[in-house]
Formats: sequence, C-alpha cells, structure tokens
Amino acid sequence: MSKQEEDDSLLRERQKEIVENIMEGLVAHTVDGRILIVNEAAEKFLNARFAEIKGKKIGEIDNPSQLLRAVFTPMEDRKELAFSFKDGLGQELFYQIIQVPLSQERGEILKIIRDVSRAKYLDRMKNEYITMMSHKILTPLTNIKWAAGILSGDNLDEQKKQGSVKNITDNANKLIEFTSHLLNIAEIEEGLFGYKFEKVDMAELAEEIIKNYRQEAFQRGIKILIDDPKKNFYFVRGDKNRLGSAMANYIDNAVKYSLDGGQIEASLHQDKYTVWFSVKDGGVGVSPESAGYLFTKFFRDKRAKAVHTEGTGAGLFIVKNIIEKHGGKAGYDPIKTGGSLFYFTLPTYKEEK
Amino acid sequence: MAKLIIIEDDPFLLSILAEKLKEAGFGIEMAADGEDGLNKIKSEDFDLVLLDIVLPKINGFKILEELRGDNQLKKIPVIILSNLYDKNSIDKAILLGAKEYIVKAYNTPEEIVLKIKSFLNKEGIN
Repeated sequence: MSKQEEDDSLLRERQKEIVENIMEGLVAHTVDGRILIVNEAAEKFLNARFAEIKGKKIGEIDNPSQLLRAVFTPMEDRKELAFSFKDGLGQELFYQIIQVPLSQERGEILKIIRDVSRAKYLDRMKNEYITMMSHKILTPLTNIKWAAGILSGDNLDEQKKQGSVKNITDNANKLIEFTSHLLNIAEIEEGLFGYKFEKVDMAELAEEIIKNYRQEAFQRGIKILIDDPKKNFYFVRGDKNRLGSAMANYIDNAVKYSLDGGQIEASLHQDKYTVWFSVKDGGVGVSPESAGYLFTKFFRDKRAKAVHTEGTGAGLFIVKNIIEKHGGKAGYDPIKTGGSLFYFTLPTYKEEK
Repeated sequence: MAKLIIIEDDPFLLSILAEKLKEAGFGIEMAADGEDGLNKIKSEDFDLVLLDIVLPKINGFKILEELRGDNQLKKIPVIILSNLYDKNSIDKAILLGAKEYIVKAYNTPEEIVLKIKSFLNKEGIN
C-alpha cells in the first residue's frame, strides 16, 4: 500500500470507530427507506440488531419498536422531532430525531437519534421546584394582601387591627427567612459561604440561642432544658454566627414539631477530641423511611408536613453544610418512645501555635 | 340560604373567608385539615365546597377523588381556592371534578365572594 492509501485506510478506520462509539444513534437509509447503516447507540435505542434489519424497509421488519417506526415517519430536514414512549416498566422515555440529507446522487438520508430523557427529567424537576417555591412565597403574600385589605376597611375594631398588623409582620418575616434560606442555598452551591473562625464557648452560645425561643415555648407550655450548661468549658474553633444558626435550626424544629406542654432537652458533652451538641424533643418524630433524606436540600418529612405544611425544609441542609465546614458531623437519632434527637459534633478547640 | 364548607389550613385566611361569606348571607362550616373537611362533607349537607389543595392530613386532590367516587357526594359542586397556579395543578383539579379554580393570591376576599355568588346564581343554587 502506498503512503496515501495507508492514510486513507487509517482515516476510514477512525471514522468507523467514531460512528460506532458516539452517544447519538445513527441510522442511514435510502430515500425509499431501505436501511443502510445502524450504529451501536441506535441498536440500543431501537432495540434491534443491525445485522437483522440491514437492507430492509420498515414494513419488512418483524415487530419494530415504536422508536424505529418513528425514525421512518416523514420529517423535514434538520428539524428536531420529539418523540416520547413508555417503556416496558411504564417509564417515560424521550427522544429527538433529526433528519440530515447525505448523498443526493445516491439518494441517502441520515437520521440522528438523541436520548433526551435525562434532560427532560431535570427540566421537570426544575419546573416542580419553581412551582413549589412559588407556592411557598404566595401563601404569606396572600396573608399580607388580605390583612392589608382588612386594615383599609370599615368596621375596624382594635382586636382585628392588631391581629391584621401582627399577621403582616409575621408573614413578612416568614418571607424574609425563606428568601435568606434560598440565598444561603445559592451561596452554598457557589462555595461563597464565607466563614470567620474564632474561639467559641458552646454553652454560652447555646444559652443565647435558647433565650430567643423561651417566649414562644412558654406560650405553648413547652419547657426547654439545657443539660450541663457549664460555661468556660466546651470550646470549639468556629464561626459563631453560623454555629448559632445551626443550633437555632435544631431548637426551632424541636419547638415547631413539639406538642404543647412537651419538653425539649439541649445537651452538651465532650471527650478529648470532640464536642457534642444535641437537641431532644418528644414531638412528632421523623418517619423511618425519611431518616436518610433529612439533611438533603428542601426535603420535608411527611409527618412534618402533616403538622406544618409550609416549612421550607432548607434548614437541615444548611446545618449539615455549616457543621461539615467546621470539620464535624450532623445527624439524627430516632427516639423509641417518640420524638427526635438531632445532634452535631465538632472538634474541640486546639490552641494554634 | 346556601350552606358552604371552607377547607383551608391557614387560620387567618380561613377566618377572613368565613367572615366575608357570613356577611354575604351564607351558612358557613369550616375545616382546617383535609381529614376534618372530608368527615364534615360526609356527615352534613352542603351546597358548595371551597377546597384548598395543600392541606394537612389529606390533600385537596385526594378529597376530589373521594368525592367523585361516591354517588351522592359527587353531586356537590367544588370550587378550588389554592395558591398553586401551575397548569398541571389546575388541569388535574378540573379533571378530578372541580367546577372552578380560584388562585387566592390573585384575588381579594371580596372578589372571591363575588365569584362564589355568581357561580351559585349560575347553577341555580340559593
């Protein structure tokens, strides 16, 4: 073989390998529908072997798959055609088929088949997410809108006025909290969540955080106890604000999902290397099948939803992120008698040389 | 005088709707979760059900399914009052038998009362 012939042969080899290895399905056929080439990806999509359908028209093939039939429906050049089918397991699959003319003289046509199921799935997830978020925003806004309507009306007694004003304030705060959750999540995704590390007294911090919840707890007859609140004892190196947020999230959840008259117990322990903070409540608890998903983004357990339909579910995901940034672990233990124990661990404070 | 039940889990929105509808002359029953709502529909006579979709215990779609599956209950008209405004939810609710779909955030309580009044007039229910 001459050098030129060698090069040509190598080129053809490469082109063949490319056709065989690309992710898109390729089907080349004559103008009247006789199959010429079917690559490996197409074999997979069409559920057919090239050897069996080579040289045949669609009408001559036994039991062609829906997609194979779709490949031979009349279509315009270079216009994507979308097809969807349910497979044997009832799962919906999405494909795009594009027709490209090959050789005019030989009268040959190429069909490119793309599996876009994953893209469709992500698209649907995004739309569901947007719908869910819109609903979480619209509900507090409806409250604000209607409360403002009350305030601007006649027959305004003092009780109604106070109630409406409080409603506006509470719902505005809900929206602010929710927005900052959304932003936190966006920031976490971008790694922009800036941390400032210093020596933090965990007992002091816990007491500060719990103080914010005492009034709400008191109104519902809920007791918040702290086990071993020794000051000047449990030290970690951390971002005080972020650790405070993490604690607040646990306390807030415990209060929210506790039954009136119940008891919440925060505790601190430590050994040589680890400080352990936990919040125990006797509330609705977490359904066993959900325990693994608790700390994922926007997940809400069905029991929590049954008590409180509008929680954002963003908190635990942020807690996990905060604690992991500190070199610790966040987790959940179910309590046999009902209720939950949420904890996180952090490395004990070490003086820097 | 027509008798209505409002199934809505937000206490403030529920109280405003109830008050405005009472002022308009309707008999009002209330429920703050799906289970309570469904029980009341089964045990009392109503001319119209006002139904939220996102509800504790049993959601609005499930309630529509249950009503549709009962020969007596399916005759009671249902109007959805929800803050889900996506096409899928609306289509699903109508498919399950809801007569109308009102998005709370887009309406004042007064506007909702007017829509209900006009619906009942149209249906010849008083």
